[in-house]
Amino acid sequence: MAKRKNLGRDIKRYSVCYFMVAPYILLFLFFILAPIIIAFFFSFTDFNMVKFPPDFSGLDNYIRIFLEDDDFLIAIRNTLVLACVTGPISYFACLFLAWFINELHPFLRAFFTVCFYAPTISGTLYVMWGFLFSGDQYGILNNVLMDLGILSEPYQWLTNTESMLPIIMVVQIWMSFGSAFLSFVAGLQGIPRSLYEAGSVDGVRNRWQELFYLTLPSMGPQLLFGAVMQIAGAFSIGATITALMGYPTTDNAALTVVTYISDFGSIRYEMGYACALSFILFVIILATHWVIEHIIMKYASD
Amino acid sequence: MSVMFSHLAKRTMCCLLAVLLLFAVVPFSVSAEPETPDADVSGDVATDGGQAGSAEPEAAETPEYTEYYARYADAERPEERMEVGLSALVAGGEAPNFFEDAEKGQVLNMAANGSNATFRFTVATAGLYNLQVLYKQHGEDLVSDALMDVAVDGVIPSYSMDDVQIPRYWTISEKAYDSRGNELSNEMAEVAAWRWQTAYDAGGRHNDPLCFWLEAGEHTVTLTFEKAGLLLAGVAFFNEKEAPAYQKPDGVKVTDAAPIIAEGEAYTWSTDSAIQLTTDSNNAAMSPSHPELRLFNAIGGSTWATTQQALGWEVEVKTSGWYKIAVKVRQSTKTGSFSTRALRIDGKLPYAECGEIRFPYSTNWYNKVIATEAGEPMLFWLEAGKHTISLEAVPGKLSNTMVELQDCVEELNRIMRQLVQVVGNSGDKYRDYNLDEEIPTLPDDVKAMLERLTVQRDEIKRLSGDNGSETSKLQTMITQLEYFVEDIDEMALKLNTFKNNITTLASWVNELLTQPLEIDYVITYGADNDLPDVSAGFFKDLWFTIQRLTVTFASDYGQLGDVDTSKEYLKVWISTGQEQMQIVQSLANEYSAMEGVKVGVKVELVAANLLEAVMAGKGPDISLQQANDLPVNLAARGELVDLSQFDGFEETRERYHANSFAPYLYNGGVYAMPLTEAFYMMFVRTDVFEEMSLEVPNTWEELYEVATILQRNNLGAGIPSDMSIFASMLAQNGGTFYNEDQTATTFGNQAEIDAFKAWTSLYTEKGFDLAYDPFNRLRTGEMPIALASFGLYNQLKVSAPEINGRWQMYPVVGTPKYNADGTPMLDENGQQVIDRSWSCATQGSVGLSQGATCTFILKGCKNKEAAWDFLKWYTSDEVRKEFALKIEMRMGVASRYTPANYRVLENLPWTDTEREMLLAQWDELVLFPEIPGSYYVGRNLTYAFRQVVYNDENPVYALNKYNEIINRELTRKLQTVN
Repeated sequence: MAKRKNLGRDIKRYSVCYFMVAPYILLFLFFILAPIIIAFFFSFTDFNMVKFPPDFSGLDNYIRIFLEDDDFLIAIRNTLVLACVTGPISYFACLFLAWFINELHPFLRAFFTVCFYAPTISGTLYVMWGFLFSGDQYGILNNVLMDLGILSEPYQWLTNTESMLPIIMVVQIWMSFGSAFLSFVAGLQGIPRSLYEAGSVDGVRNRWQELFYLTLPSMGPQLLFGAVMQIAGAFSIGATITALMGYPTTDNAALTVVTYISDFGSIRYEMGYACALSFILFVIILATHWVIEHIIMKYASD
Repeated sequence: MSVMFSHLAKRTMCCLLAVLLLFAVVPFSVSAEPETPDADVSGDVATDGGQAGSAEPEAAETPEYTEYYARYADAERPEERMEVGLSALVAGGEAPNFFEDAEKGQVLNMAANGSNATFRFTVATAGLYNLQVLYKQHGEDLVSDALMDVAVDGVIPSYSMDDVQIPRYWTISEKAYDSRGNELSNEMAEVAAWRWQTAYDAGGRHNDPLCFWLEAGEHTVTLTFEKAGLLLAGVAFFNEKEAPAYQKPDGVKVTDAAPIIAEGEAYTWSTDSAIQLTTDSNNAAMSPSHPELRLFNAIGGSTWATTQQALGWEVEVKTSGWYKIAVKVRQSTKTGSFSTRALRIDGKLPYAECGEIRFPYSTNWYNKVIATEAGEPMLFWLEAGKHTISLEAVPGKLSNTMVELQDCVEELNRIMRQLVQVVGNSGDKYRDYNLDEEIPTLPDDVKAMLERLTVQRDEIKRLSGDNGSETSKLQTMITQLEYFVEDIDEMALKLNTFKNNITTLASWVNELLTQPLEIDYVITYGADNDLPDVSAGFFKDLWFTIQRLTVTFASDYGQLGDVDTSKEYLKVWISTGQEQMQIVQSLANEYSAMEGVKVGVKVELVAANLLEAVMAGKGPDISLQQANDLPVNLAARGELVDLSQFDGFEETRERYHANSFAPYLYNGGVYAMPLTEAFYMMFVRTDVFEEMSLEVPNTWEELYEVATILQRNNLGAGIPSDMSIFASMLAQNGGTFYNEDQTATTFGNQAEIDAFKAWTSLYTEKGFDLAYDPFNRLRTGEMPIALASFGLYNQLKVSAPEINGRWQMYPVVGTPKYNADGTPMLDENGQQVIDRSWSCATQGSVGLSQGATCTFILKGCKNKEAAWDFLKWYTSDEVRKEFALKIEMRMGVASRYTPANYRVLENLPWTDTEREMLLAQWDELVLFPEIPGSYYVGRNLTYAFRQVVYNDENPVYALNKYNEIINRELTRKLQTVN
């Protein structure tokens, strides 16, 4: 009873704060939380975008996903492979590049930041990789390799099952110096000089020690933010694949959960199934996030 | 120099080594000397009446105009004018089609394609003459210029006299506004009048009118028309008096009369209906400008760029006097270069200098005062009264250079093809090609080329006073050729850059040939401060922008025009563009105004996902221009209305090709109406085929033979690797996709397996390219034959003018038919029957996209009868034709629209030959049914195809494997749908 009274009083006392977070809370509720709940609800139905309300089908969708759907296995495998390869690589690449350019002259630093960040903000510029990997004999890579005598006839980079995943990884890493990279650059700038001075007094002898004992621990929030962004990014690769290789890709060799969801949602009109798929993806991302968060916070708070 | 020397030394060493090593190898060399067809200038020309379509003169037999002109350049130009009328008509061939004209009495009606007239006339003095015809546009349903072939004494003297353009004059019949005041697309009307039209170069490349050399004595002139629709009353040979050079009138006073402004968009006449009115709404100084409304305030731009397009403005001069003329223009397309116009007053050049007025590049609007070279404004004497000021796009002084450069590009392409035949697609560093022995003519050709290009470069620099930036692309080519002249074998290694340089040069030349210009107004004025500022100033512009931004929250430009919302209306969605939307809306308004129609029609431009909108209850009643694979997939979910239940449905069927409805059938219902159809044609570079003495193939076997010869010469033939080929091979062998109940595929049958084998073997055994750009390869001639959607026709016509006349469109190759006893099946002419069935099936987003579009009624529609009545009217032959003509009228040839209505094609502005080819192919069009779940067919067939082609899988095994997967999904889908 007393607690509730306190709550009421607290709300009143902090009403200005509530007012200030209200826009974000509302947006969050309507555009993030509500869709997740709705999707969760629809995942137990056979919703087909026409019949409303849809029939309740219980766990049918989930049973089909886990027990019958071969393509889902391909999708989840590809998604995990892409996430496990591009996620860490791009995360550490962001971190080290940010670290490398940190000590440059401010002008040069700004210049390199723009260079690395540019692919992310340039929207659909990744279609240029389509020219590079074009299957035409005049495609850039084919042309060079045929000139060098490595290939004797054009190779279909974007439709051959063997080359698709590696290409996506390269493109994805190229594109991944996004907000994580920026937050690292900002985080590195935010560490006070006095910390390093104190460190050198306390016996830090080389740059590696400086990095592991001083720099990274004081960047906890940025590291976490970066990790969240990279995980979400790595798990939601999809638009790039469709733009470069079309949909569907040969033998589903570059099928990811995201492209699989849009297949069911917008081509097959099996929205219930698509909702179940996206809920599974949501759970995977959440779990990964939880693990990573624990690792990083443990490290950063040491 | 020393680098070059050591390079040579190394080369010699290598040669010696190679000779030693290859001592035992018998060298073989392919004679690469091209067989140049003898320049046969015999009289096999389209003069004998009646069969003009088939007797198109070959380009190779007639000289280029520059060559023709050079022969007589110094000849006399007599001043006399020889004008003859119908009395000089020579009888012969078909009977002339006379027409009774109110003004001229009996005249000739040249409506039919290929109609011709021959006149007899006598020349007193030998010399060079220009030609004029007296004509009046006549007849409806024609949007493009008439094309005229001119033959003197039965021979077309030069290639430029084949397809001379005779313009049709247009005007805006009525400005249309909606109730809010937004300006709508205007209705155009023809301005028919008797006019003397001088003949200019068919390609629009020469500044001066065509000259004809005439000996003294009796001659005949034969005019043959295509796409004509005009009346002809006479023809004249004459020489125009040259306009005097400008000389400042002495001691005259410039008028102090008020300035007269003629708005660009309010022109009096135009010689091309495709010159579009434009809106610049970012500029407060535009005239007129309005922050809120959509008003047309300028004209032209990239739609006013081809030579001979002219606009005329009538101005009324109150007081006679000496005036200056200025034009407010923007030329923001031709970077770093200028566009050229000829200014005429009442049809005459006032001064010689007005024949070529240059409008330099600028992204901003500017006032161009017509001035002398020294920059002093010219003074024009204008009597009080009405005058017509006209501006015509002309090629300018660079025209000869351009013609020469186009020629050079063609020659460079020929050299390149010769090289490719020896070297392949890219040279091998470790091989000596001895190009000068393999292609003995090569060194001289390259040297000659270098000389020609250098001359042209200097000419451009001289004429345009350019410092080199403009000719940089030409310079790159020259530098490379200089390098090649030093060491001819380098050509093998630098083949790819050589190719790129040719392509760049070709597009640069084409760009130079265009004369884009946008006009706000033409002003006639006296005092200099009467010339309005081109900019309203920073703050006015800012305020204007703010106003415009505010308005965007309130105005919906997705719907223009008025719909009477007081009465019931149908909501129609269209997804293509503003122009199309306005045309459909204006047609729909005509419909609502018709007697007995109780509903209005509201057309909206929406690019949203249809199904989502329907679910949200915001869907349209009718959706236009949807992909062919959608109807069945929507119908299976009960979202569409069965059209076969309506009155008069059966009658609409006869408008279309027999199986046009195949993709729209579902459970005994018909769920859509076809709007457009797509099919493939075969594009052939006739000049290359002639060079290599190849025949245009009719059957697959013949095509393979041609391809083998081409491949042996390192050229190629193009067969797109998409499913169309499989579907078409299937159709030609009597196969189908699905069984009769449409519950499963038929890929287990022999015909289907054979088709799949044949399809994959194109790329596994026969070496066709899997990926290529047909436009570019046809243009360079590396792929002299390619199968492609007929849309390539428009692209080649518009974007590759340099190969005009060097390519042809044919029906696709087919499968020869045999009787049951194995003897060839013959048609009534004794020719073997060839099945050229063709289907456009490719993998669509939801099923087999068959390249076509359709329209359907959604279930949510309240007044279904009214919707059907509208649809029935909208898909009728007359309305489809009107739509197609309006589209082409507004947007030019590039957007030529081909309705699915079978008979409409006959009324569209194709030439007879083209129409014949298209109809022949259309007759054989095959459309396959769509079924729910057909999305799985396309993708798995593609997988199977790639398994075979990339991984050397056995085709039968691959097809079987994926067929099983397909059928499993089809069964599942069928269950969920039912």
